Amino acid sequence: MTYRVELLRQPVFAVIDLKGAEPDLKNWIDSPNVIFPSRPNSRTHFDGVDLFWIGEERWLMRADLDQEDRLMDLTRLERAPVHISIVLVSDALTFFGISGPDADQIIKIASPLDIHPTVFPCDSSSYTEIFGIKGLVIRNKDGFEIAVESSYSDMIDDFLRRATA
Amino acid sequence: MGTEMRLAKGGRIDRKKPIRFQFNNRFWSGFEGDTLASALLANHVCLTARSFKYHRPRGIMGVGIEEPSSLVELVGDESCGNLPITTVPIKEGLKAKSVNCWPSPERDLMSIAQLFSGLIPAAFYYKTFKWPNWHLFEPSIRRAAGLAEAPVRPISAGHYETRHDHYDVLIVGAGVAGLTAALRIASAGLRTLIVDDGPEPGGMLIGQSIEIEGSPADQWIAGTVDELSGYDNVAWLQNATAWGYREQNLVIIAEKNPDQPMLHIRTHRIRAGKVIIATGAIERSLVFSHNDRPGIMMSSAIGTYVTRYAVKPGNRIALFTNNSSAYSVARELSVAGIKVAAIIDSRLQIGDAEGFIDDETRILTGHEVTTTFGRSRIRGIRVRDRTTGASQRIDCDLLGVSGGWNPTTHLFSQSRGKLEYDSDLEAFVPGVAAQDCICIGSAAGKFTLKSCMEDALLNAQSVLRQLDTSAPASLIPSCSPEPEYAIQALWSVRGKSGYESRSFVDIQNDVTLADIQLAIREGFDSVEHVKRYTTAGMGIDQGKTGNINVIGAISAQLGVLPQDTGTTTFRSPFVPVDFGSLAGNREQSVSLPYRHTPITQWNREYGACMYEAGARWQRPGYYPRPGESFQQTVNRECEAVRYHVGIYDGSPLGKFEIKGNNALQLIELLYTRSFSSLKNGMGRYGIMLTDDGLILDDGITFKLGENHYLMSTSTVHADEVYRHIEMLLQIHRPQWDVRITPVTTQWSNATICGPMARELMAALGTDFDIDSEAFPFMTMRQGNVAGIPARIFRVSFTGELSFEINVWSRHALELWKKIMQAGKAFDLTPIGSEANHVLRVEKGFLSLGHEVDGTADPYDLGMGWIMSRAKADYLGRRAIKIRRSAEQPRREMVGLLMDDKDKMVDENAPITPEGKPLPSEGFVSACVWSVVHNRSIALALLSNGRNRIGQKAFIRMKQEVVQAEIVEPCFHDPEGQRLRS
Repeated sequence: MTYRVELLRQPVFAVIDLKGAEPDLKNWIDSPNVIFPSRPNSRTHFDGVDLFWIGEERWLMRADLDQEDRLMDLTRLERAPVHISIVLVSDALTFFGISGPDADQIIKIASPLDIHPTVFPCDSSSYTEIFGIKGLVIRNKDGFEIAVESSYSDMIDDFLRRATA
Repeated sequence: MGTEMRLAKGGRIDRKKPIRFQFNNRFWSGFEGDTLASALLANHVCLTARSFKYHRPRGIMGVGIEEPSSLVELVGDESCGNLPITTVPIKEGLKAKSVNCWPSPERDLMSIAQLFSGLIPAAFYYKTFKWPNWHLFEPSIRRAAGLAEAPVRPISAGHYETRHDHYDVLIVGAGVAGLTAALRIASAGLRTLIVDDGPEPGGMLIGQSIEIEGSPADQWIAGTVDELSGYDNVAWLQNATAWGYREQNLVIIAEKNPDQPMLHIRTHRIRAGKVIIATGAIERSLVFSHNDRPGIMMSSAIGTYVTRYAVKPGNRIALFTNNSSAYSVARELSVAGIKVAAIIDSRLQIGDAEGFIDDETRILTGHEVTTTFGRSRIRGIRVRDRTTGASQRIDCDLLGVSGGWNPTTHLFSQSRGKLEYDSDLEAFVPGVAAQDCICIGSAAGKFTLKSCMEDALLNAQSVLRQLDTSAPASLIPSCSPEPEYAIQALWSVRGKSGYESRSFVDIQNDVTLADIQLAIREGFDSVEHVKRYTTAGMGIDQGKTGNINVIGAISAQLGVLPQDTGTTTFRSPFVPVDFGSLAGNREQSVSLPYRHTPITQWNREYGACMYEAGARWQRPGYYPRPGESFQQTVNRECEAVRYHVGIYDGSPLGKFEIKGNNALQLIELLYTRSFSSLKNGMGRYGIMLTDDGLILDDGITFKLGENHYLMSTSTVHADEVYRHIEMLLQIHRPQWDVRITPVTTQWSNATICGPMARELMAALGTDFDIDSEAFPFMTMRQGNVAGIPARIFRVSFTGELSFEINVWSRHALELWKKIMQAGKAFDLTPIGSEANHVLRVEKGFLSLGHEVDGTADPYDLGMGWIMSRAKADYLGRRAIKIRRSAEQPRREMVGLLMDDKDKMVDENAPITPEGKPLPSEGFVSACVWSVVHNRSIALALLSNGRNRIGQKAFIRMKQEVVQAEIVEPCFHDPEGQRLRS
């Protein structure tokens, strides 16, 4: 018996890297629909958009690729003032979905992150190591997502398939 | 079959499940639950191995991981070498053979070594095999010394896995102390992991006749395990050995036969808030003449074989001890109906409680065993009265020895905890901990059942307090009465003349008392030196049974106390570990990390030779055509760039967006030249230094807007530069407002280079002017190329007119294909990193790992012009100034033209004065075949090189000295007209 998981290499998402003080970013984006997470290493979901708080004064905004123009309009990245940084990184990250009853076992193989539900509940997100490479781990209702720099995506795919073989 | 020495009842084996297995090419049988050791003992097999150095006959001495004597090699599907025979569970189809012997332990040809044992004492090899060199003899010596060969193939079924986990408390050991503590910890609701290396929990308690709470010990174990399994917060790993203790409470565990059938071994890397070490204690041997014969066994091992495996390891048993624990073994044997002929106790007096066994067991206090008789099996012992010197022979076919007990402090020691000598126990016990861990029970020197339980509860309570939690109170269970542990040290027994060379202190490594004495005579009198000189305490068992005897022997020889001799540091792994389990999931294609670009697959399909070219990127080295040699391919690709047009995938170049009110200040601090006058849309080449003024990286930075830059770095150092900048911002300039975003893989890069690059760009179609005046060198444009949005940079690594077209990676393959299509009219040639290397050498451009070798600064490379004098400061400036103020000659970059124009020289070949074997004055950093000059050219770092231009240099190759003229380090277009065109 192998692990009971489903692996999915996801298509490219629209992803925007936001850096700056939270009030400055809120002022700049100026949209009542955008909800910033209240706790570090967690995410909010609104209007088809995920917003991950992934570090000190650092967020990732994600939506389906067909929403990329909308995100760019929302964040007005080309005109952002100098004290905040808004950079499109859609192509820089590859996401993998890991779902199923044994999804947590695969994450334990991949990452040293403590994913116990009391420590890393649903909607948590954190940068950590994934098979030795810097990567993002997100807990969903039915499992996890991981994101790595896209140049490593073939290797991570390789690793994940080996781990579940 | 297989029942000769099997008791009619008892044991933890399943008699309904017989198992056949092979050992040394013969079939044997045992039962499920047997180890290879217990099954062989049940078959009355006594000679199971030969010793490592002298090839002396050896048998089974222990019962678990402490086994020093019999190692086996598994052959077949699960081939594996050097496993203690006591740790191999039997199963159908198992094939095992002894190590250190050929063809068998009974008829070992190398046993001839015993005849010469007097001639080959410790360190003999290192003193003798010095000429012409050690490596000439090493293979034969290692072959003779034995141990198993490494398996030639990986295991045929299953694979290895490594996983991580976190717990509040990790309890290592599920013996009486571990279980007692676990109950207390678990009831407080803490996330708890219990790890035990046995096939079932209970440790030494399993099968014992003692009672706890009025019931047999086995019932107490079962009840405790049941209770613990009811807690959701408790996880359990059985058959799992904690073998490594690293910093920050990281404990590494190898789990055999985990729940997933596709797994062979699962390695757990556990971080715990608190580690409770309940690893018990290991009985140690006694040192006397011929103390290594088959049939000499640890006393406790005899007891365990009887109670756990229902095996009687001998028919006539004697015990030799210096402590009280052997009496408990004798009682267990008596309960099982096995008589002990005699107990030889070196102590003059023993307590009443430990004394009487039964009417048939003679107890000889104040006696010692001076030697043993027999060959392939012990037949008798010589016993001497320590007071009168009178001696007698006692016949026996099994001698149990007990030199006392050592707390199993290996993990504690690995955690850098200090050990202290306890003179009551005559053993080293845990002292001050260096990490958040605690030893309990026997591992802390509590050698009676009651004291183990008391200690476990007390320390569990302490752990709960430290973790700021509590649990309902619990009482110490009542236990059968037992004598207090008492011991009187006996480090060795004096025998007849020459006894020292037959008295083994380290059974596994064949280290004798004489070896220890020799080491000390030769000045190696510290315990660390003795270890290295004699190999005592090394090897697979890491001195589990013998280390303390080594310390005792040193102390006796030097006339000091054991606490003054001290211990060596125990190293991981605590038990032998498969290389596979160290590698975990990293095997085959993922042994090393690898990266790809959107063009990687196209390159493979196009026939490129792909290999890593820095920072784990798989890149095309060259694109051979049928019938072409390597050099022909590289020449063709270089000619394409010099005379037509080429293309390469430059995606791996590091790229960072830098933005913030202090972005310019950051760049000014990082680079040696000034960027303050840079205008929007323009770029400037820069060199970045380390704090000690050596080149860290180079690259071009473009200004995207006010305090907004795009920095490119080398491929190789992209990650290092990122760390460097983050360190600078987070540690040294936290007040600065700068944000840095890596965009290396957001933007992929196809670089078109060569005199026809502009025509190709025009053919692709752009919505901006690409004329040299409208789009000059070192500028960038944003626009569309072949209908794809792009950032285009006029920079050049090849020295030719170049356009670096950067697009979002999702468009990269489409762009590449469009360029290849449009390029057909221009004979466009894709080029690999080999051609790129040639082209940059022709230009004299620096390369990290070649000219930038970690010792060079910009002046050395003839780039003093890049060192700003106007800027107030930049990283590395002061270090360079101090270094150069010494005015010592430096190795400087020069070009080399070999006198023989066809001669290629090796990269890194040294350059010496007149080619003589003298200290080098430099080295060749690169040598290539120049298509421009149709000859070989080279770059070198040469002492005082620039002042020697026009002179000769002498390159020392393996077979010859090659003479070359020292020239300027630029062989092509020194004015840079082509790249600016």
